[in-house]
Amino acid sequence: MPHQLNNHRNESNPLDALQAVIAREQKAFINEKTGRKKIGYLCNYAPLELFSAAGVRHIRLFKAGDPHTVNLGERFTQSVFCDFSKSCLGGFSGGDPLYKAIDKVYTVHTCNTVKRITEIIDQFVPVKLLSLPKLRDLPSSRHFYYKELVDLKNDLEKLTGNIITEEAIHEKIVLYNKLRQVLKKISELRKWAHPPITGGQYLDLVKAYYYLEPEQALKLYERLYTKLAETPVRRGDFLRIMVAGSIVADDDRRLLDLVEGELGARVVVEAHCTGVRPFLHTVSESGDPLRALAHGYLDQAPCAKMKPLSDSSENAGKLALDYNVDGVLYVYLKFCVCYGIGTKEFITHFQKLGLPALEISSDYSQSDHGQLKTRIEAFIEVLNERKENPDEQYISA
Amino acid sequence: MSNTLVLEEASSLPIPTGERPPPTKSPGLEALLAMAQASDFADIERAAGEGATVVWGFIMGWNPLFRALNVISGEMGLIADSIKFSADAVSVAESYFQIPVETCTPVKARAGLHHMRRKTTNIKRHVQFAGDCGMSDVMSELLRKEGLEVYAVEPISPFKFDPTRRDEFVRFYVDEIQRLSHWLVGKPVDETILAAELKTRNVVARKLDRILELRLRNPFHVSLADVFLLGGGSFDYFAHDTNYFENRRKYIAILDQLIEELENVPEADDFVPLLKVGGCPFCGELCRVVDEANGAIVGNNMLEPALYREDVSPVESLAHFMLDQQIEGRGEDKSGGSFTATAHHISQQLRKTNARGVIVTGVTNCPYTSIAQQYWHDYFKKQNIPVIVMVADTHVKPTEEVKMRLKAFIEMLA
Repeated sequence: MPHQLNNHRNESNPLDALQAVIAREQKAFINEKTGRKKIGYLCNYAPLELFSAAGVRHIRLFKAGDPHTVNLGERFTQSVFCDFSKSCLGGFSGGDPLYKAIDKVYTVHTCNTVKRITEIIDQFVPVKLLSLPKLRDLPSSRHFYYKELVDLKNDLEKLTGNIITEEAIHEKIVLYNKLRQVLKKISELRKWAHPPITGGQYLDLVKAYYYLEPEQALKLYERLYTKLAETPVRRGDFLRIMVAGSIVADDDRRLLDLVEGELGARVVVEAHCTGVRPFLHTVSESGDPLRALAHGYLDQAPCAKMKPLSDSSENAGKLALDYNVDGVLYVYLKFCVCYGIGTKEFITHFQKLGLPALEISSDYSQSDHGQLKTRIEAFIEVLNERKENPDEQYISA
Repeated sequence: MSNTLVLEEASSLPIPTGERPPPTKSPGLEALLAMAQASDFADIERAAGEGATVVWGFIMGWNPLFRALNVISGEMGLIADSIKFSADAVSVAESYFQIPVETCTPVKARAGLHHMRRKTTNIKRHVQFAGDCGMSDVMSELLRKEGLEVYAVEPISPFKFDPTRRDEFVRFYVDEIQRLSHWLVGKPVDETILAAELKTRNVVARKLDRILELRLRNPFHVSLADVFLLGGGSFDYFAHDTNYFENRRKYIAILDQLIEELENVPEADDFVPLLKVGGCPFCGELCRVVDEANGAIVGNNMLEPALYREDVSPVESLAHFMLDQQIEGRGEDKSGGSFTATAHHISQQLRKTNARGVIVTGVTNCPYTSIAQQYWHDYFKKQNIPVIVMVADTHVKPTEEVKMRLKAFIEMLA
């Protein structure tokens, strides 16, 4: 039988202390009165190197996971909208102190939902929307995204009054490459039979990436990596799970707590946009830094909005194999168009690779806990049986 | 069959029992209906089988390009058939494609129909504007595994458009047009033919504009359901995507006939002019409900006197047209446009038409219109303009409750 994971937090452990560090940084973001501009952004295609080179303090807009904030957002939408986007709107309309502190929001047109909420967020705080080419192999698309980044640079210079030099961008590219590499390396420790870090803890690290100042985050990650890499290798008989699908917001731990806390499996890798996926690429450190950013960001592991969709499913499948997972939880928020309608593409691909997969459509309400638990429990039972009898035909749900 | 669906639906209803008697049959509309009935989607399938270049999908505002390249879009036929066969098609979409139940019916029905016809159709290519409704866009990706060659056109997202970047954006779309032409027919579009297509389309647009202007005197001679027919097989009734029912000379002659009729019909008694903004479920039966209640829809967000520029190269003209419809919110989600900009345009139409209220429509389970309809509702309410939000499934007849709400709204404004 799998180990029951110890979920108790120990504040002397740097991993457990992360939440407090993040909370402190959020408070600092709110209270900073130095005149330094503060921005929020959506999503992984926003080039953080450029934000940092502009000298702005930046946070990702992904404070979500509770039904109350969703309700606040429903003032602007009907229920037929993904809870994450509703929460973004709820955060602004409800006057969340973190969002209230923001001087400007930058969004990238990944999915149409993001594009749509951009127009509403503009009622609360100035917004700039960047176009995002979906055909990343076309030279014209790459050039166009480069031009978008030139425009973004100009906009940031106007916002801050700072000139963004090529040297400054280059310096930040080097810094963020180090950040991505160390987060990737920490994630790869989860390839061990007994990973020294849980899926929940890894998501906390990722959360820190989006809230902490990059230099501070790098120090913390490097220290952590050294410590974690020294963990004695142990035998492990955890069920190894990949979570794939749409965004997992910073406070959306319901499923993870269930899988790791209540059911004793271990999430070892994520193919969604707030797990390891954004840290798999590096940006070239030579040549025109803005062009390097355009190429680097378009070359990252693609979200489901990029074309063709099979790029995204194949990438998820590759991650699952690399991390030797026993099964995949394919989770998307209700009304998430990209991952909801794209379900068949992903599930079929996992099946082709011999990976059992369970599709879960979820939201931020708390009402379906029992149902979720029953379904995941049954899935885990199947995976356990399969692990014990590897020659039997796999079952997908 | 694709072109007659709306009118057929409206005509099959019982004669209204309200105050307004049914209008005299317009000879022009009768002729238009006959043209629509003669234009059968089966012809397009047959043409594809005989070697014509036919694709699924369309790009709002770029139909003149398709015509100049001698390429036919079968999308209108697919949409019409997806309504006819929606029960089966939706079931296939949910079971075979695993499309979530909560997805809107139009997308599920089209996906299902593609699968049901994958072995019999002669049309094996699909063109997708990546700035289109996100559901259609992702659904098109699933079609790759159905044996279709799927081609995507890149969009720009010009919310808060910076005019200093217009040339850059136009160049981007010009490149996309040339790339699309190569994919469709293997060569660039002949600019002389394209220029002629744009010129014809502008002639038609001006005539339609005149018809819509004359409708303000008597909107019942050509009701909203009829107006859809005016588009000439178009997705939007301002005919940017018209196929002229494949007989443009006759089609234009009928438009002239209608203008003459409208110039001579007596002015209608007091009625309630209304504007409609939002998705497309509001046709057929609901149009009839508006007429019955002595209301008349005199404009909507698709209804803009937009012309293709004739002072630039025709390819640039198409690029400008795409950009402008996005910036101004015309075509709304189909063109990847801004829905907040749409509200400003409806405001202009309010001034032009003296409409007394706005009907905001949305498709059931469409997240994109759900956010837009709330915005439009709030926008007009703030200006003290009466507004009602009607959400309906495009593939299901509206309920009595929906109809009663609409009638009550119009009565309130009378």
